Amino acid sequence: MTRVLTVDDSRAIRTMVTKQLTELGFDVDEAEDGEQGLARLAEVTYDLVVLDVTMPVMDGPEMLAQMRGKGNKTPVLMLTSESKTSIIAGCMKLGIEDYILKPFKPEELRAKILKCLRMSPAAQAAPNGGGAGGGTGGGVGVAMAAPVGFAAVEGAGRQFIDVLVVDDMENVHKKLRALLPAHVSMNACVSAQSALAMCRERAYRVLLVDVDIPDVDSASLLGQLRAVQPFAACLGLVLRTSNDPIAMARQLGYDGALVKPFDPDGIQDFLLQYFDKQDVLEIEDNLMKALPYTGREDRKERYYKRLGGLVEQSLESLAAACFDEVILDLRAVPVDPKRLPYLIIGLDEQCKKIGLSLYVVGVPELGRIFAGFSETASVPFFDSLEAARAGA
Amino acid sequence: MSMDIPGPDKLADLVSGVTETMFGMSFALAPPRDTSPWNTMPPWRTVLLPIHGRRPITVAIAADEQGGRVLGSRMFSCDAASVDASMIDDSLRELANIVAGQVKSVMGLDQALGLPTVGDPGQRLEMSTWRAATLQSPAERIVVWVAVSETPAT
Repeated sequence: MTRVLTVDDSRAIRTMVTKQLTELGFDVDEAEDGEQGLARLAEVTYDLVVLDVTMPVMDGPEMLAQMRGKGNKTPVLMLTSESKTSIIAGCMKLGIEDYILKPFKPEELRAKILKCLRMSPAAQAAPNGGGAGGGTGGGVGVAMAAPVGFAAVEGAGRQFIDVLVVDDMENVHKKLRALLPAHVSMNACVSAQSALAMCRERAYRVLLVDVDIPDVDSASLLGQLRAVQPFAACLGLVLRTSNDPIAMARQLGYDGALVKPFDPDGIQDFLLQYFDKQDVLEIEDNLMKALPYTGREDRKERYYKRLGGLVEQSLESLAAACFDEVILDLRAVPVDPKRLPYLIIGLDEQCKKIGLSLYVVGVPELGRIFAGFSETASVPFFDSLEAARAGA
Repeated sequence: MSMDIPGPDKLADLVSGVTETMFGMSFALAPPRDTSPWNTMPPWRTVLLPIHGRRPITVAIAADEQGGRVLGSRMFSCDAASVDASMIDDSLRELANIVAGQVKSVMGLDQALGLPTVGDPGQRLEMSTWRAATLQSPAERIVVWVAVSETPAT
């Protein structure tokens, strides 16, 4: 019998899920939070976990991370009112089959669950089963094979794809595929209809949309794509001939732009922004550890900006998790006497606004630099993590 | 870009959209009157939910006992008579959670939802800081109250 685990702090939601699934003849277990959910998973093998995001004790993303960390590959359907992009994107990265935003109709829940179960190995024998690897909206899309790895990922029935390219020139798809690393999965299509069909089938992390497809109203297409892909970043594919391509794309409603013809630097920036967060910053509880810079000297400015942006974004999550202090470990960061003080001044202000105390760990040279500015001298500075933890 | 807190009409739409979708119950803005739940109905339960982040917001949902009982019966698909206090609290918390998600979306906030908490029975909110709407469901003859404030939950 198909077994489903519903993990939600709301008894009402667990009751709804259980009612829908028992009517289908499934066996359903309930857990009130992530900790209980993990305990259940340790005892029983499930075909699907229906998982809430915001829960006390242990939330959904943490439970998912621990599941995947232990090698548990049970398909997960997220069921949430939470639409914060970074939270959903984080769950997608850890591997979920699909998600439903509340409010949902009971029949919608039932349909999504059935869809997820058809994709799971346990349900492959079911009618219409056999995985979701193929679906690209009735064959209207053009699936692009990566040089290595992409086909294997698709074959495994992966629901989430990193990039969708919408451009009427197939050569654009090929060029981009050749420039993206193999671990970045990509689908592509040549028309607005295909794009919409594909977006209904899969969840994408980034949509790259040609701002000038013949006979297509770009703004209208963008609006429709955003409606079916609320968590995807939407970038315009613009020609280098524009004076300010990014401003032009933003004026059209896009989140940014990728310039055609593609150049390696532009692609590197794109990858840094959307796919390489882990290479700049590692976060464990309230410790943010900046990772060493390994790029070219002339691109260091971007690294500092990226680091600052990521730390700033993550502060809110720490405040939301009720931490009082945040420890920023800058020991691996190249010392820069101008950029780093500005970075710390901005972060300290942000921390104060949201009720966090900022503690910095760095090499002695950085400590001397910070001591020279009144704004940074007041930020607690330590030369080791142990000392910072003791200070916190 | 974040937007202003939704007005009473929009709040009514949001709540009604949630209840209509999930269990087919619609709400409309109650006739104009003082929007404080303590003046329009005997307050029984108030749930507060913080939306943390750069622009802290708090969403509140309140219902009298009858309103809570009917909402609970719809959420749990059972008779109103079998709904107990814990089921009402659970239903209001879940409603607050979903409505807060909608408020966040309408306001364009990319911030994390906090956990809903049930307020003390006698707790009064400082009304001047809240944008509120009293809603009624004519079919069920019940009233609920929804409010949003640009202050952290206390």
